Amino acid sequence: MKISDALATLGLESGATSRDARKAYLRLIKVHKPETDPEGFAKVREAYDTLKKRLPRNAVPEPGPLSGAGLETPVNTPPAFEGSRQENPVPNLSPMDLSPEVPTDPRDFSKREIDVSEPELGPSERALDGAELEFGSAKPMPVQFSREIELAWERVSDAQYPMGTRKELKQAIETHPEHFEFRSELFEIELETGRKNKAIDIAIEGLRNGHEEFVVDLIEFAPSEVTEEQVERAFEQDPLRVALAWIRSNDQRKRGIDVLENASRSLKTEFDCDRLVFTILNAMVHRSSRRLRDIGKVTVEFRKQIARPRAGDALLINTFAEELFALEVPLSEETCRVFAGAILNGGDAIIRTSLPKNVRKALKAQAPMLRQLVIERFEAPAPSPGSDASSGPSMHWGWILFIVVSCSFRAFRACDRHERNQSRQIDTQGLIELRRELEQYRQSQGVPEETYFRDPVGESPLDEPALDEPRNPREQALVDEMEATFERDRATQESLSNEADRGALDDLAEEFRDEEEQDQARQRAIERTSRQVLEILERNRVNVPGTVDRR
Amino acid sequence: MRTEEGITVGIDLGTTNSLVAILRNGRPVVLENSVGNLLTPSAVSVDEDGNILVGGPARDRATTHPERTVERFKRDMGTDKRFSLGKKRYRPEELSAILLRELVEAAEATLGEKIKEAVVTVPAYFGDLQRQATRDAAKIAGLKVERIINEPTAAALAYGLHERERELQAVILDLGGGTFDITVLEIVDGVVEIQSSAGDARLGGEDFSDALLKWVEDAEGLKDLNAVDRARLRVACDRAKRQLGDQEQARIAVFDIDGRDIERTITRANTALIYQELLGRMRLPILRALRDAELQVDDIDEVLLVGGATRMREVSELVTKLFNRLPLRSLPPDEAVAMGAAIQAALKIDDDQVSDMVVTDVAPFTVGVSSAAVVGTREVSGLFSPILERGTCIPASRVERFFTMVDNQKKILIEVFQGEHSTCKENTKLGEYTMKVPPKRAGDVAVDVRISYDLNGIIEVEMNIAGSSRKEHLIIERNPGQMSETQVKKAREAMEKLKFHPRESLPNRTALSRAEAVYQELRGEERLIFGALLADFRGALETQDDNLIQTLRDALNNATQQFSVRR
Repeated sequence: MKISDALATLGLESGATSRDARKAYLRLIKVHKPETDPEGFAKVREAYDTLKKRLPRNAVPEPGPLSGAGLETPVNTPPAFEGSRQENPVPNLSPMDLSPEVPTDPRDFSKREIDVSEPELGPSERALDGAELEFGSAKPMPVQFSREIELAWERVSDAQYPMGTRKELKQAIETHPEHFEFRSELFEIELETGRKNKAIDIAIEGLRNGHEEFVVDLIEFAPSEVTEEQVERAFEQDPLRVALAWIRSNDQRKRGIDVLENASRSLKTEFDCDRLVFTILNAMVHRSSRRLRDIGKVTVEFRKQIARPRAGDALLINTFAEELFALEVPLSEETCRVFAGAILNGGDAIIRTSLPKNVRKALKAQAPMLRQLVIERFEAPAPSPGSDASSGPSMHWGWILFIVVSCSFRAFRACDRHERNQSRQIDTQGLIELRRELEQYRQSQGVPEETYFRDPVGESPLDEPALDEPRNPREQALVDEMEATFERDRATQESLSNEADRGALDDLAEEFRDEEEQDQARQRAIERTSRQVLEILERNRVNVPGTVDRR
Repeated sequence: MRTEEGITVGIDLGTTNSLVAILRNGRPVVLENSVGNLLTPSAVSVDEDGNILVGGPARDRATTHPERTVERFKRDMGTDKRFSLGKKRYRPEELSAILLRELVEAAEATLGEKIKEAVVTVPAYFGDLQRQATRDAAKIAGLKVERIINEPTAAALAYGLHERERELQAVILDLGGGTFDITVLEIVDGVVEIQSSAGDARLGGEDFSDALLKWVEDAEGLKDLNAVDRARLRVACDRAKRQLGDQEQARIAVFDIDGRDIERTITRANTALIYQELLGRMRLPILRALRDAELQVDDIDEVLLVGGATRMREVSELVTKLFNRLPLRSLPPDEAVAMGAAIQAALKIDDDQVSDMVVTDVAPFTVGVSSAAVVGTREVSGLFSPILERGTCIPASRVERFFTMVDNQKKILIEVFQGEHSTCKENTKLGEYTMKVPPKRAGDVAVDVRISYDLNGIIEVEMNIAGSSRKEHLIIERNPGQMSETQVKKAREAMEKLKFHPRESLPNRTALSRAEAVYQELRGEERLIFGALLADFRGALETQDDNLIQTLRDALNNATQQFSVRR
């Protein structure tokens, strides 16, 4: 189907995005239902299939009056059009700021901290004694970009259509090889979509172009590609990041943990503590170890000593960290990443994790509100410096936020289990209240309902007996059976979370993951090969059946 | 769910069990059969008088009269295999027809109304041959079945009906008696969109029981068991498999197999090894379905388990590990597919109860034609050119252009195949058509071949010479190797003449056959007591005294339950 026909079928204009196409499709198939109007439906669907991959994801803004001049504009001069300067004075037009969805990772941690979000941190706390905890010095941000690159960047920041954005990024890299951000973003995308080798290539190329930031990534993924001097330099600039890379690469895990241990002994400011705790949590994501946990505990203890009682992120992270370190059960990767990102970065930019898409979306949408809520809670009963924080409800708010932020029933159960271990009553009442409040707040803001808050267990067709009928014995038996099954599953999950319980199934699961990765590699190889084959066929061609004219 | 002609229901025609369901007050309800159960075993048996027994009574006879009983014939649908029941031989379609007839009549008795049409489910991996065979079975049974839907789609519907307010990406894993299916679907804005499906047509709960059986046979050194002994041992293995769902270990104990008493304890540690190969086979369909849907494990929001065999703990553990989340079981595992069929039945007749729901499904297999290519100076023929790929949202229609290979070629032979292999030899032929073409230079004549796949799974081929208005049609209805129209008609007439066991005495029949099966397993004192009760009941049947028969039947059923539980 031609694109113009497809657009017409869906009633769209030529500037439509794939999102518009999807909305139109969903609307139209309620009218042209497959059962009652099969031909109409087939047409609508074909139009949608045609446009799904061809349209851009987000709306492309109208080009400005001087768009043609874009590419030649040297990087450091102000933009050519007046409008942007006067109406939208953006002092620091770095690519990261253009899109709130860009994830932060340890590499960006330094930039974030310097940013305006935490005015309470005075300059003294940021200036660190000793070269050890000096921040990595990123290249100075380019001040302005040409319009083309801005547009390209906007499209780039949403990683939903990596093929499209990859092209944009590659072009951007070609035209502006000195901009680290493009390479960095492409690196992230390749990594996230499982193309690790491609990502490594980008990092190597970036390094060759002088972007020393990639040294740390290479330490993690391809340690043979960096020289000792480069590693030493990177270490000088930011030892914690390098330590994290060592731990994550499993290559020099012990060395990395040693570095963290040293760092914990030379803590001076709250800021050091927070940063160190964050690094430890990030490291624990891969494999929780007693040593790491101990280092974390020590850090948190120290932090409490030097802390001024104050609501906000810093206190939060300590409450959490303490709870976490006290847990015997190793936490899941998502949990660690989620709360670390949510708390430390003010919840505004959550590290790209393996959370389900809708939860991620919802969290991003509500993070500011969540943060506000928690801050309020923490400020409400002002904690006095020496008070035993284990009394009263404030201790539980940490848990409640943990549950809410990780938004999972599993988290609830983990808390439940932990609470029972500590023989404390979990503040379920508080939890229920919090949920209710969130619902109200959400409704008052007109935010559409995200149903991930629903407890999956209680929502079965059998849980809704018709109003007047008591549940008949067969149904009751079935409900009993299902509840029993759920209990068994729960037992299964508990046994599964015990790392020592590796059996044949773990091997299968691992094989599955490997196969998935291999599968993707195979797919890429197939794509490459088929392109080559087509070229060969084209050259030798007399009759190639089934080519051309895909209507 | 009423049309002018009668009621439309949904039927889950399973390998091990079958069910009938209907949508009532917006909720799918499974109907009871004539002995008050929701599940009717997919078994057919013939008694000494030549009467046909279906369901529970037939299943019980699998151990007592294995040579006169057939089970699991669904696996042979689409083939020419014949089963002998007593003196006659039956094709799988005919056995399915017998089963369908029984299901429909029992449902009609429960509903008190006539059933005119049904939607029947098949595994997603059923090819066109098997779907046609299912259609034929319905024809033979005198039941109007226009729509055949995939079992995982049905499960998706049952799930989707309930969750249609939400927005999520889900995976449904259906491990039934004989087949394993996986479906990936997305629910958004009241639309249930099936994105891909895959499966293994020969992997089901029965295979796990078979694996246990083999293990016992190997461990006990049992070779060449006779049919009855084998059947009895298998029943014990089956029971143990189920028990392991709840318990840490189970006993397989059978008396007098090949002269020995067999007693084995089996634990979860044993099964982890015994089942390993079967569990491993579950991976490939999952990978393929995810790949077809262009998704990764991390994109999935919910995993749903459906199908009786998912009660096995090994299965749920594997799924948990593969998807990194606890699977949901919010649907009754045995009934989900039938419930979905009922919903589809309502959708098909545009019933008000489902007016706010839209469902889209995908083609389960690729349809294409054979083609040839010239590479350099060599000609390669027998290649498979896909025209409508699996996973295309249906109803759909796709077209490809082909060219003549030879100068002055007068005819072009269009052979239609179904399958995923690159050569036609390995795919399944569906039909062919020879079309005249105007003689011209090679490559100057182009033929457009359009394949359409409608919601009922009917494949239509339209061929048209580019530039001319002439069109040729071919509707794929009969495949080679399948029953012809006449054969179907004959089988239908033969069905009418079959003697079915009289309905009124079905409860008695069931009680008897169940008791007989248990009696076989007992020994000593227990056997004497139970035998006496059995004999009493038989005596009562002679008297035709309904009250007496009822009392003794209840007593016998109780005793049957007691004595079989004790084991």
